[in-house]
Amino acid sequence: METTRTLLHTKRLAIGYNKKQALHQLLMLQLNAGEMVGLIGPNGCGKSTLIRSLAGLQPILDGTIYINNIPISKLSQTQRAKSIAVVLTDSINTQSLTVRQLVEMGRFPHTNWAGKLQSKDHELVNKAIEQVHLSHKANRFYNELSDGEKQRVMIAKALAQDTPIIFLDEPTAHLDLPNTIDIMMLLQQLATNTKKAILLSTHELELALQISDKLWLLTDQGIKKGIPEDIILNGHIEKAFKPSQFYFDDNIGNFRVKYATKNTPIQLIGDNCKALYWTKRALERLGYSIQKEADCSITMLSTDPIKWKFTNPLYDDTYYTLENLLDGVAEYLKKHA
Amino acid sequence: MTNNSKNALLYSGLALLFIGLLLTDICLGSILISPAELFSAITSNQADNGIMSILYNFRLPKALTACIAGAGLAVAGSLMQTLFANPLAGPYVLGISSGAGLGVALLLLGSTLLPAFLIGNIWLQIAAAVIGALVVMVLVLVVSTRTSDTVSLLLVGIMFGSIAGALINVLQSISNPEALKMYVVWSMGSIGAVTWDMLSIMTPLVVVGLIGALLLSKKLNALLLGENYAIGLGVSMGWTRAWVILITCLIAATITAFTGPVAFIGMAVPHIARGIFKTSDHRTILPSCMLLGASLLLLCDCFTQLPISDYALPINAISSLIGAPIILWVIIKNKHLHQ
Repeated sequence: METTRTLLHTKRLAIGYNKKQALHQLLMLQLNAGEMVGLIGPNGCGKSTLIRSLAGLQPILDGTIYINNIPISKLSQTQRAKSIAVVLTDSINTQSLTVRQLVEMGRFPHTNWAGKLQSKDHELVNKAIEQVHLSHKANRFYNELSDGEKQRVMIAKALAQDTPIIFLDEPTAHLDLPNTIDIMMLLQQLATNTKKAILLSTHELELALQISDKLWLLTDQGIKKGIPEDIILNGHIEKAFKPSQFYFDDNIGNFRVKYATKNTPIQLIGDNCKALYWTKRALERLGYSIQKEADCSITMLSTDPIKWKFTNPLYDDTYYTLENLLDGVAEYLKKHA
Repeated sequence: MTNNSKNALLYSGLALLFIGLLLTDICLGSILISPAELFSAITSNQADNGIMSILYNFRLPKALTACIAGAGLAVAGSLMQTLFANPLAGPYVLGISSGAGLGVALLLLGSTLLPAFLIGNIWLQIAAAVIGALVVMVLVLVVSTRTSDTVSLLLVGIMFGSIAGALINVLQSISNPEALKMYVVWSMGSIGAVTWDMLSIMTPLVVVGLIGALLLSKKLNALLLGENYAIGLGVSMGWTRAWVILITCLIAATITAFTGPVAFIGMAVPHIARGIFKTSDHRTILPSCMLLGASLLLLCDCFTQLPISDYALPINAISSLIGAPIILWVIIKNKHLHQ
């Protein structure tokens, strides 16, 4: 295994708003080059606070943050801005800045007092815009873009800042699923290709499990670190999210809704296939509990065309759509159970 | 690079407009000077003494005052709009001008304790105006951290303006007639009342402020992204905020100390500049604010000389008539004002 380079680490870091009552303390964290770390945890567990503290946007309560083994307090504000770029949830409320002008802001710590861009700066700005696939919109106004594009602009700004470390606070909040996946994949590729250390907080747990190299799971009890699979296998996610409406299915790494069960047992017979899976899902959704043996049973007769047989103690019937099948089951139960 | 040549073209257009307005303003007045007379007065030594004296003693200082006040107020407005992240900010609406007025009122009316020779001291008046403006600005800034709503901030500014106005009223009613007279003369000050002596104090102070603002351009640009992003880019917020406040107050208060309040120029001009140059980049906006602000106040001054009456109209009224509709347009156009 090749040795990884640690870009940022903390010693006994305490974060929060009140010295007597730190949100988290004694944090020993480490960010390596080329790694994308997903910061997850229930709402209000301090994800944003941690990111803001690491980025120097809010004072830390105790401990030390090191960048390349230098305590962050020893760095000037400009040196810090050359090490860490941030993408935040703050909305940018400006009428007339183009995509290019906004990305050029990323060069701020590298330019002279007048902010004059040299040819190297222009190069990096162009490259950053290309990396987020926005070259065709470089001269459009920022506030004319879609939410997903706006987020990509801010990521390009962070790239133009040319820092070894990028922090992103909820970069996919307010985005729809395709845009969310798009941004996450983009960040993952950036981490791999540019050897940057990327830390992002997210609510998209399932995606974070699939894409992150490492996970930091922030809970009331502290922080759990590791590769996603270990975090799942150790049952940390189950414990951290104690929901009543849904549960974490650690067989497939997904959250599943907990349906209110009617406690009506039903038997499902058939070969394992797509149709059987969705039949099971439909029955679960309506609250039937699927048992190995029951008075009523549903049999997958064939898959092409899809055909179900519903058998109960009184009669049996054949159906060609799930909707009709479910209606048939409901009708029987209403009359006879 | 096409952007640069486009900007150069726009700047030349504005410069021409400015020169045109400057010459028009110099010609207009109770005695109309024709362009030909103006030309001969500038080029030959044999010019009419009367016209020369009008030009030198009245028209030139007034036009210069309009230029400096217009440029200064517009830049102050631009700084405030960026600092407060609020398109409706400006030295007049946020009560900075009232604060400057209160400072001078306290000095002239409340200070029976001060030795007499200090009362008429122009430097003391400027200092009082700057301090009054600073106090209001800092108060508004403190309140602005508690509310992110742009309209609330506006109301806060109006409230501070009202409080300052009320305090001035109280001071007026309890002060002695002599001090009162001195204050009333000051408060009626207009750009026409500024003499060469006053200009020689006002100009350097405002120019220092303007240069300071230009030096802050890069940091102001970062502020457009909001405070957190600015810190992330390496801006030291404490220092930057302090400098912006200081420069804004220096410019706005100095001008107010000499000309009295001039409404809406500071708020309206940055919007015109951003509209013309289609950018928020302060490296473009601040210089264009100077040109446009000077031009707009010259235009206002031209209107005050319109031959509707024998008397010149108050410049504050004209600038409100021109500026307020622009602000209304901004409010209607700006859909995100409530964010």
